[in-house]
Amino acid sequence: MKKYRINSGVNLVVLPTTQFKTLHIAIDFVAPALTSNISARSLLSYLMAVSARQYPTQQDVAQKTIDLYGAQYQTDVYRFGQTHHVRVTLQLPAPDYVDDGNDLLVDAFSFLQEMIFDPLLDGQKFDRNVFAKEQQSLINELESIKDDKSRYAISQLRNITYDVPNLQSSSAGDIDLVKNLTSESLYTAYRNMILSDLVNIVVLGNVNESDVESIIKDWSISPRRLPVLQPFYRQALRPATVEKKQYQRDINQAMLTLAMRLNVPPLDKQRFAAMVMNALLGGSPLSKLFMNVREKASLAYSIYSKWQYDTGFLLIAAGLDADKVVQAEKMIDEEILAIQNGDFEDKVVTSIKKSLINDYLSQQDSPNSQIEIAFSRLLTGSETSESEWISQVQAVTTNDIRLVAKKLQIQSRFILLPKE
Amino acid sequence: MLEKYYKQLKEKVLIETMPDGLNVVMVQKPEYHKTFAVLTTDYGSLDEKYQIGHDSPKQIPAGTAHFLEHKLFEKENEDAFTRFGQLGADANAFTNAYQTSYLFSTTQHVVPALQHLLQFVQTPYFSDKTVAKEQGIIGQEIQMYQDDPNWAVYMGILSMMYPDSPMAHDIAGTQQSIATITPELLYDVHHAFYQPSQLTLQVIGHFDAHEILETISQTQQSFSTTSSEIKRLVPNVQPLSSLSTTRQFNISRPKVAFGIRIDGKPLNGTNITKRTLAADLLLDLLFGEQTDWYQKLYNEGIIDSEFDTSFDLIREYQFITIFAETTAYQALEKAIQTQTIQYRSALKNQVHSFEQLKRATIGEGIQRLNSLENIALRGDDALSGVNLFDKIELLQDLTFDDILVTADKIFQNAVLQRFVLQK
Repeated sequence: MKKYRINSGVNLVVLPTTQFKTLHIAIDFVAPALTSNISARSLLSYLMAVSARQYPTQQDVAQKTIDLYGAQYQTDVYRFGQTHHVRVTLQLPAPDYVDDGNDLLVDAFSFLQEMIFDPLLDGQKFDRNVFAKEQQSLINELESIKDDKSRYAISQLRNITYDVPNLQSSSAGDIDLVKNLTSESLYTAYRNMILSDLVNIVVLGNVNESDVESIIKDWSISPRRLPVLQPFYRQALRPATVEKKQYQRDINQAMLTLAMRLNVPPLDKQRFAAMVMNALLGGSPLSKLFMNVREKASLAYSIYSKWQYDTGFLLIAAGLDADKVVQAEKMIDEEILAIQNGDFEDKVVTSIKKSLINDYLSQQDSPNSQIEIAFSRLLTGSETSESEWISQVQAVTTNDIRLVAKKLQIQSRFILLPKE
Repeated sequence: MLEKYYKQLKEKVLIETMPDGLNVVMVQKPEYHKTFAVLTTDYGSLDEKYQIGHDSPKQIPAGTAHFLEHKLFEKENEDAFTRFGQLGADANAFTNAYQTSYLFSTTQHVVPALQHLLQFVQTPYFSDKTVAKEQGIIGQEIQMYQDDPNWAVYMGILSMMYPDSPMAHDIAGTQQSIATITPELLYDVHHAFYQPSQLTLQVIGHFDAHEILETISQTQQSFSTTSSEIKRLVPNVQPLSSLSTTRQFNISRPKVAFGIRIDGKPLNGTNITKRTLAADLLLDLLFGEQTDWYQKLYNEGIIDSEFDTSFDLIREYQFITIFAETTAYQALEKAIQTQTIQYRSALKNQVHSFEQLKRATIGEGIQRLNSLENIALRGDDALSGVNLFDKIELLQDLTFDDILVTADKIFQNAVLQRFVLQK
């Protein structure tokens, strides 16, 4: 992957391809995830989605995306380990596929530049009306997490799992902190983001690299001192499991969620064994949790595990009848023990490896996956080639899977139960 | 083999009907790494009664199509997923109101995966034991949906528009309805709706077309080629149940759905897609984010980005739904009511907006073509035989007059219904 250094702390990657009928521009602003900035950055992503000096209202923004041949303009926030990302993306039809599309590329870049670097201000603060409306929208969104019981249970689990506050809240912020923001304080957060964040830009499509480079150079993004970023987080072992139970009205089913510590060193080769082990435990339809807990024992309708490589945890979540929670957890423990004892079939592992490789190769058919991989490489400074990745997955042995499974240690448990 | 070119989109579709009636549609994408294949029967949750020849009509319990989809994966000795897994293919299936589809995607071993897809879908195995177990699993799935407030709103407004009809029934059925399903019933339904002449196979991606056709031809030889005529029996549409319903649910903000049912003669073929495209643009012109109507409500905090409109034309059912999350649903209802009554004046001098929106909608259609899954599933293939490429071409031919004609069909005598879910 070729990286253009536009300025200190400002990088560009161009991925020229004719495989797709689209053009993609994605910009990532990266800062340390802090309790004090997550909520503000999340609200910034809302403001940047609907308003700028040239496009003061959401109506103007909507009209502009219509003019850009139905472009999809989006802003979002992510957390990877202890880094927080405000991501701005624009996707539009490739100019070669539309009538009179000659100016489309230049128009698209100018639109993004205006939306990001030229906000609608009132002196040293954001426009008050836009601010108030978007603040309310974000509060509504954070409150609605409760309405989705699976999302809610996982957010509660996260809250009791991490020792550091900046990982406990949602990457979209915290309601009380959002309420405390003002249009002045938000502008300060905006200035910080624009002036001090690491800026990574990825452009994918049928484009000329040097054209894109010169357009981005014209944006005059100022040089910045690189912030200290910790893309990976690892937590010390707790003496005892933290547990929390909650009852909720109007639900029929319970949610059982478990956080297991899985301390694999970042970028270590063992991550491939962890990936295979997770797919064998609950990360695929061929997994033990899916085949045994759901299909054979009918203890849960939904059950899966997810390996969170960035924070060193493995999450297990199940939707099930309230009276089956104890039995299901017992069975989950037994399945983990079985993997630790090497009690699994080689042919299942072979299938799982094939499936992981299939997913990996399939990413090449998705522009968004390609962009995601480029961002991840920029963030971690680590790049694994296709052949290296495939041979590392192939090389994982039964013993590697057992050893990495033995690292699993339960740290927290959150159970959501229906209230009678 | 029929070849259809789409010059501007740089796409080509290959179409073949096998001797036993199986329809095959192929789109080759040599720069892609994956191949995506889908086997579809246009049998869905709406089909609750059918007749073969002069036999007596048979009733199908609600939720059977979805139940059958689950059960087809389970065979006497092994799960159909296992074989896909051994081949490194990702397999799945889904059931909606009007179709059931079985699919896989793979970057390796396309031919054996395709053979397996054709074989497992056309080789049913049902037993008392496996049916009983599935009743438990699906029972839980139904409950899971019932916990989802968005689903509750959607089913709420459908039941108001189409009381006591298959449209008001959950795709998965109810615990009571699926309890009546037996292996015999599943065999009967499979026999009727899964004969080769009822099936379409779509293959999209990186493959050799001749090799694929050869594989299909050989695999199909092991199945029966008898074909019988099936008649779907559709109940008459009942009068609207009520204009306004409220249901209690533990959610942070009220969720509201509005519905307008459109009665009239069922459309067929391209007319289905044309009507849908025109209605979608019409809704954008009246309620889209770029309209003053939307902006005013957005600024007043009555709606936010959750606001959404949709037009659906599914077989004999045609309706508009509008969704929002708001406490001010009465104000919103009034605003929608006003806009639908004054639709003619709202559409006056909108030719320019129409042209812009049409261009943007074509742009969105082009963006959708990146995904092999979209090419196979986002067209109206199962509803009207119009594929995703045809859809873009039909859109290009759409005129503002089409919009005005559609607006009269939809909004003359429109009755607005409202369903609210709140604490």
